[in-house]
Amino acid sequence: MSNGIAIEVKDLHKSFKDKEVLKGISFTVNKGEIFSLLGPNGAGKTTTVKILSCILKPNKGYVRVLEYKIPEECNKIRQNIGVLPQDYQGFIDLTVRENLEYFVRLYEEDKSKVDELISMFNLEEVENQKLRYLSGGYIRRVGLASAFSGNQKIIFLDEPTVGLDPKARRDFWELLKTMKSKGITIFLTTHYLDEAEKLSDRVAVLYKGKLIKVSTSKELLNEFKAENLEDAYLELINSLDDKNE
Amino acid sequence: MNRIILTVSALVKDNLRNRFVIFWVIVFPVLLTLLFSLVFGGFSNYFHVMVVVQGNENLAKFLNTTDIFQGITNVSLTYAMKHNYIYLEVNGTTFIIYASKQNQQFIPTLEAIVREYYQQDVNNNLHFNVAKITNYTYYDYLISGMIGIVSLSNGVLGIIGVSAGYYRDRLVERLAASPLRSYEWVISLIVYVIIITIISTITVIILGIIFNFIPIISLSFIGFIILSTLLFGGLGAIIYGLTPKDKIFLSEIISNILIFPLMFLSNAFFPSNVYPQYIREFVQYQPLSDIITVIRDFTIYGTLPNMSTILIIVILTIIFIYTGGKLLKLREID
Repeated sequence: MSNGIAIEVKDLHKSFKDKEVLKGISFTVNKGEIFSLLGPNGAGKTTTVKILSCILKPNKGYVRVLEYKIPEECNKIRQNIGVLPQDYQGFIDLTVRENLEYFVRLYEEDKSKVDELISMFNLEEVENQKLRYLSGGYIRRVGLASAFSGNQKIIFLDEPTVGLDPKARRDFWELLKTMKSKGITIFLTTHYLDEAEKLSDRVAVLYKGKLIKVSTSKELLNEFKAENLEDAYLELINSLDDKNE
Repeated sequence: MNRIILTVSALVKDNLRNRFVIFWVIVFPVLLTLLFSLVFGGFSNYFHVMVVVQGNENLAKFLNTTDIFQGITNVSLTYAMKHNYIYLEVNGTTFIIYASKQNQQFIPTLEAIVREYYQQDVNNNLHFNVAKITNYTYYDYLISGMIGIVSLSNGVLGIIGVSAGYYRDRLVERLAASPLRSYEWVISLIVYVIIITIISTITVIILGIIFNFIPIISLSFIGFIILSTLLFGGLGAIIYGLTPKDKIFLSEIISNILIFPLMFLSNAFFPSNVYPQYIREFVQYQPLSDIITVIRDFTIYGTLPNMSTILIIVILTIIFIYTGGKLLKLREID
């Protein structure tokens, strides 16, 4: 794998019982980029994230995260990645500080890292409050902070801004940009096309288990002569739906 | 090891700050104990008083014709004492009555019925001697039964409550992508349910002391409480593991459907012989009843339990924990 590649996926297949969810997808993610995986519900986005984060085992295919192979070297991968699942709520009756302490110690980092995370993610105001009493925006921020509890080089975010108000979403975007500026690779799945457009270096479109497109937002806009990513995406999906009919 | 201690500490803190968990671990056993103590504290008044007749089978049958006594034979004195039965030893015209303090109120009536059976009046020479025996009350019976119940409720609900709740809150998924190993997660959950069972047991024992029941606490008893919690924890893990994850709420419903019949159709509150015949066999042989019988042997009578019962419980525990542990694993890749 070249030094510039963070994730390499070739001919990845995954089935649950008789249902084939991923039908041989291939793509690469460059180090330090924000890569967004788009697609309608049930397209296989979450399954892809779960395979890349060593939760699910691929049925077939070649997958590498950093220099480590899945599934053989998952223990090493887990030390180097962070994940923020969709609708993550955390330990709801622990405080923000206690939540972060747990994950920092799980990754065998120094306790001082907790203060660093609290400051980095602007959580000082709520550090002694239980998650149960926090707004969705703060909980998501705590989730993102806990995803950075170790020495993470790649972060997987599954629909990270669902349910957040516009202000909280914008704040969250700023945090992601800051992470990117520190050289962190961000793998994002989202339904919000404006989010993908504003944040991503490249986007990929997954449709019924197949990867239809991998390009920059700009290339997609040009190809469909659309004003924004949402229009381009809808045109692409509609054309696929028409073909299937 | 470090990650296990860390995870157990997080689980205990997170859950024992939750009012719902506090209800199940502390308030529920206290309320149930108080309820049964208040309603059935004078329990013998409401049921047939069991009398073991040793030495005259016909007298036992005669007692069955009365409204108050039920006569049985071929039962040892020890068994009779454990079950709070009156034990009547017949030796010619001499009768020795073994009865707990609670049952001594029935002795004059029993004497009158025995005289009636022998068609003797008070002036004839039937001799009754009352032997003083250790006094086991309904409270002793109830408190030891409640200890069995908390191992059931904490074992099953502890595992299912935490696993299902954390699954919904996406913590399980987050932990699955962390360095925490599946076996560390399973051990942490088991240690957590053992801790909450010990908290509940201490609460119930304190309540028992208020009711004048001083249980015999031994290492074997503590070991057995852990064993029974593992058995029911394993059962909880199997229920959770077999529930489709998109309908995870079902695991909580199934556990409640399972727990309450096991709880109330057991020997926790009443001896199995007070239940209707058609359900008595179930009450007698279901695992919770066996566990409670062993707990009573340890805490009330200070005797060694039946080793075959212990063996069955150990085998069931190994099967449940092994299967449940496999089903509780965090991820497909370990």
